[in-house]
Amino acid sequence: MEEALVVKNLKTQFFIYDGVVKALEDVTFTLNKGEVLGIVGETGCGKSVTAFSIMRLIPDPPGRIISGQIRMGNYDLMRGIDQEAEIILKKRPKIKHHNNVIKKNEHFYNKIRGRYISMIFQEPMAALNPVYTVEDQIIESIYLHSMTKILKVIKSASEHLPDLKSFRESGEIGAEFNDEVGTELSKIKNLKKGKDSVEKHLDMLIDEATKFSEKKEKYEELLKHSIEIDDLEEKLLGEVGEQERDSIISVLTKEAKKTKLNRLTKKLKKKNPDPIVSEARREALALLESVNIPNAFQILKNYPHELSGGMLQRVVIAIALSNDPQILIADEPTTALDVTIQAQILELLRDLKKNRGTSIILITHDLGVIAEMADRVVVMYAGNVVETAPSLELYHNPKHPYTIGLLQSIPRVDDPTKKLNIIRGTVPNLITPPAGCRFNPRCQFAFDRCLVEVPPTIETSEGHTVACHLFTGKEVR
Amino acid sequence: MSEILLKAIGVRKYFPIKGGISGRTLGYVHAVDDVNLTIYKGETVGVVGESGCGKTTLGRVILDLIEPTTGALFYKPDEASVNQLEGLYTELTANGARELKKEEKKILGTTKDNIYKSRSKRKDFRSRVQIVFQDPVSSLDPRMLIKDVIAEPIRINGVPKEDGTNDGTGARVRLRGEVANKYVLDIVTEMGLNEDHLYRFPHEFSGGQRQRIAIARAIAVKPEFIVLDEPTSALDVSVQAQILSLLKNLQKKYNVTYMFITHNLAVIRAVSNRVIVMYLGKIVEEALTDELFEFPIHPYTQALISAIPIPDPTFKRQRLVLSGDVPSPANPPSGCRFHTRCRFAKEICSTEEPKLKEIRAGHIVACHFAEEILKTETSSSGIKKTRETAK
Amino acid sequence: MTTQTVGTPLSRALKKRLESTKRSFYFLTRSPLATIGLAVVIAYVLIAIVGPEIIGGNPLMMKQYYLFQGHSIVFNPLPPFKYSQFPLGTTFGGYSIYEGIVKGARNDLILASAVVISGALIGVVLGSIAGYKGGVLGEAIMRVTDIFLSLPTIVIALAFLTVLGRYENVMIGALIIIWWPTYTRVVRGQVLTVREQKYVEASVAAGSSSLRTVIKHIIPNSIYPIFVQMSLDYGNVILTLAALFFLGFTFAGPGFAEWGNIISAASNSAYAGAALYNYPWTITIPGLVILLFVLSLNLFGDGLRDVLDPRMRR
Repeated sequence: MEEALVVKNLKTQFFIYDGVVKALEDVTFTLNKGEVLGIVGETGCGKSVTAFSIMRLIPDPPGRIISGQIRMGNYDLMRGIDQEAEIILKKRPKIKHHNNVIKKNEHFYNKIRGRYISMIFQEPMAALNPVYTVEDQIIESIYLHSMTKILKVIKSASEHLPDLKSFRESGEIGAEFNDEVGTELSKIKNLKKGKDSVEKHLDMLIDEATKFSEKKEKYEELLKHSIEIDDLEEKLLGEVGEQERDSIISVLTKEAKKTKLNRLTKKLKKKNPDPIVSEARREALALLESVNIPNAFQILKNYPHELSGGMLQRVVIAIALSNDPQILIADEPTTALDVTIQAQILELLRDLKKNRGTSIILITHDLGVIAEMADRVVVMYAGNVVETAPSLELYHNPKHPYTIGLLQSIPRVDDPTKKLNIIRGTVPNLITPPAGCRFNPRCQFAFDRCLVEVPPTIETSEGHTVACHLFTGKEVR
Repeated sequence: MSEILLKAIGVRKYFPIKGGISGRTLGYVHAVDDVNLTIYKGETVGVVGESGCGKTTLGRVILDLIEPTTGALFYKPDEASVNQLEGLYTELTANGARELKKEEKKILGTTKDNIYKSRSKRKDFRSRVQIVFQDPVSSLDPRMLIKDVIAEPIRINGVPKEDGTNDGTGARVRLRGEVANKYVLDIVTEMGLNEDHLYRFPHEFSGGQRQRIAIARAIAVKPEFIVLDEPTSALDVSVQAQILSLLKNLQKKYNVTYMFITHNLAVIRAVSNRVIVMYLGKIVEEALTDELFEFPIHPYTQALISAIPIPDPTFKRQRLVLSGDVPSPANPPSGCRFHTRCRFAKEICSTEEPKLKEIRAGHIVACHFAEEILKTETSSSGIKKTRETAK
Repeated sequence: MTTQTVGTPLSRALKKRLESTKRSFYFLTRSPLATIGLAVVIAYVLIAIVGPEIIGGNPLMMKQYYLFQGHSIVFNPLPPFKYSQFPLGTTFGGYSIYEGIVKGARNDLILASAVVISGALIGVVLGSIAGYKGGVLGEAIMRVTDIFLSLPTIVIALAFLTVLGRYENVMIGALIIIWWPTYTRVVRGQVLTVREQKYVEASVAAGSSSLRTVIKHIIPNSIYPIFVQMSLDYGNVILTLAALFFLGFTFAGPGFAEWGNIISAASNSAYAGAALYNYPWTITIPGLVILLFVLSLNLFGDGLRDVLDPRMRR
């Protein structure tokens, strides 16, 4: 299977007043294309830190990615991190230079985030800005990343302009169009509102089309410009040399500052009936419909506080999907929701995976949700990956004592007679984690080796790896 | 079933919605609407429902922490008389509650034993009941040492004379000095904490430990009844298992009665003897735990049960995904409150409110089509049955 | 963490509380500005306590020094750093600025303390009632507070002093009337948030009376912003005091040791117009003393807010 995302030896730490929190220690896993990878663990095990590290959203200070690799296809998402770390940790040069490096890399990640990897959070309310309508927020996201797409649609529509005019002059209704205008027309016909309204609508379309033609040149220029930027970004993501990368980033940063696209965003807010705006609105509506929001047209005009939790989570998912990301990271997407609403959202995620082929990383503490959703599961404990296995294998043949304990400590609605097993103790303090295996103070099988030696990751069967001294076999790393 | 510990009749709690410049009452949130509830001594009653269903408000009203709009609460009542009262009340409200509000008040208000109306009863009642909250962060005063947190209810209420037993009539003693310290120490040791923990502030503890402290505070006065309001919802599963087993042990030792409020059906199944399902302020189904999970009758219960994620990828079952959201309790749907999301809804559901009726032994449901559903549907929505068919 | 401490429960509890205070203090000292502020404030307090005793004489009043020029007595100011008897020079009327500042520290601090502490006490009581009980009484308290807050500060004080006479008690009373509404409002806001906390409900569930809940839980958890407010207000009160003295609306004559009064000596003299030009020290030195004190208090207050607001700790 093709790999969508590879995380290798990821190490993230937080430098706070009490000491250094070793939040992630050698986290390694792979996300395959089109699969749902579940990351499961308790509070403080580093699930969310992993997600934030992948998104490069770790707040600095106090957090910092120390080392590791994250690759998305051929693209190295950790690019620049060594440079940053070097600057911050060792050399401490002039602040100006330091800021430049960070700013440049920041631009690179802004392009990745939202466009190639999207993330949805536990609290949908916190992810949305309360002073803008749902529509504004979706369009903003489209604007930031998919301008080229919109411009292309407009261009193709404007190419049909002459057809439209001749069609109007001939006075016939029912001609066939294979573009946007055509579908609009057929929609109207379906409404059977009579010839008058069709004609009226046609007038409107032609009006709009005339506006098109007036602005056509401008749009074409914009499109060219936008495609150029896209090319640059594409290049940036690929393998380029240090020198070239810096120059591309500086060009892009400059573009971002002065760009016409930015000015267009302002226009959008003025509700200017610009074709770009109406196209973006249409796109937003289509997105909301794709996440099964009933009455989507109404919802677009609503403010976040007017919507229920489940509806908000759908809106957040719609925004995350606005640019057709390859990878979707869902951090506890249903924890704040009721069970019946949770069922709806899980259904939606399943559909996403099936219809769009999005690879999903599903982070949750709920082993039930993981069992329903995930193809493969990564179990984390205290910043370590302790076990990775296909979902079936993990639930029926768990290896690591922590996984076993976790599975046995869930009350089972399908088997109430089962006695709850208790993992004694609590998650350790990550400032001074236990030496050797971090699970050893709570493990009932712990022996002297566990207290001193960090267990290697061992492959016990195809695709099933476990980091525990109890098992012997081929060392994976 | 054994002796009745608590009986609530016709409990309603409407929260006014204030608005406008003058602060007029624009309407009411029907948080709890006409609930009759019986709690037997020594049992664990699970109350389950989604957010906004009124389960938390019910817990507060039962403990007399907030005053209900109407209703009566009896503590260890005379069984015969209280049942008679309930019958009278049901008969009265059967013909449409609005017009009969006055008479209803007459029946519920004049009874001497009604805790909501009697000052002396209320004070005595407060010393016998306790509550444990969901959020262990905000439920402990951040500026108090753990020692003082746990000692607070003891200082106010004293403890039953004979340690460990609360005969319900016995006078209470106030502890002082060394004795009080020893008493607090005994309690925390029982919770799995040590003396050192007594001299710390709440923020120095993990979520699980804080919940232990909250339970210690509740159990310190040796209450007879504890409302557990989502006690494990904020905790990790491994810690949840610890807390659940602690609660079980305490129940055995002190013979205390629990009302366990949660949205987590798996936890409900693990701890409770009897389950009450609530939807928009109403009880829709009530049965013994196994009965409810194997033969859920109300369409809402069925959907709830089918929505529980089960930690077993091989477990296949019929998925009943409810459409839409829970309607606002400020403006509940007419008739059966569930009819907007119900897959069996017919005309009658939107006009006539279904009464709670006993469908099977001890199994009470509020649905117009309960009998039909029992005949045709339950076999496929109960959790045990599906498991067998899956194999 | 696991060290087994010994001692009686009482001593252990005290020890723990001390530890937590120490920790707060540590966080305060991590901010250099707040530390400097605290140090300066402590220095002022020390001067206020010890200074007047060292100088001697009436601790409230400044001594007048007569200078003879030829045959006439003049009160022309003497420049600072020139005469060992008057280290900071003298002002109009023959008062030693040094003596005025040292003795004024005591007077100013006592007056300001009286105002701030009484204002805070009134605020805590009224604010708790308004916040916890609410209802008609709470509404009434808050509306009265609003009315008082909408009146201009100095004007009220002037009105009181004019109508009721220029007495010390009237001045303090007038200032308290100016300051209590701020505290009431702050306390009420705090109480409203604390009231919703679960531990308050838990206490009520345990059968605690309203008064007990307020004293044991509500006030301890809402008092800290008051301390911050007090530390910031101290400076304001001293400024207002100085302003009142400067304007001449005082209960005491020119010899009273008060910082604003020293400045007013310069402005009220016959040479007022030329004072700043000819005798700049008569205004700048006491002015700087006030500035430094108010600035330090504000720095300290800011630091205190950061310490007491755990969200700011890192």
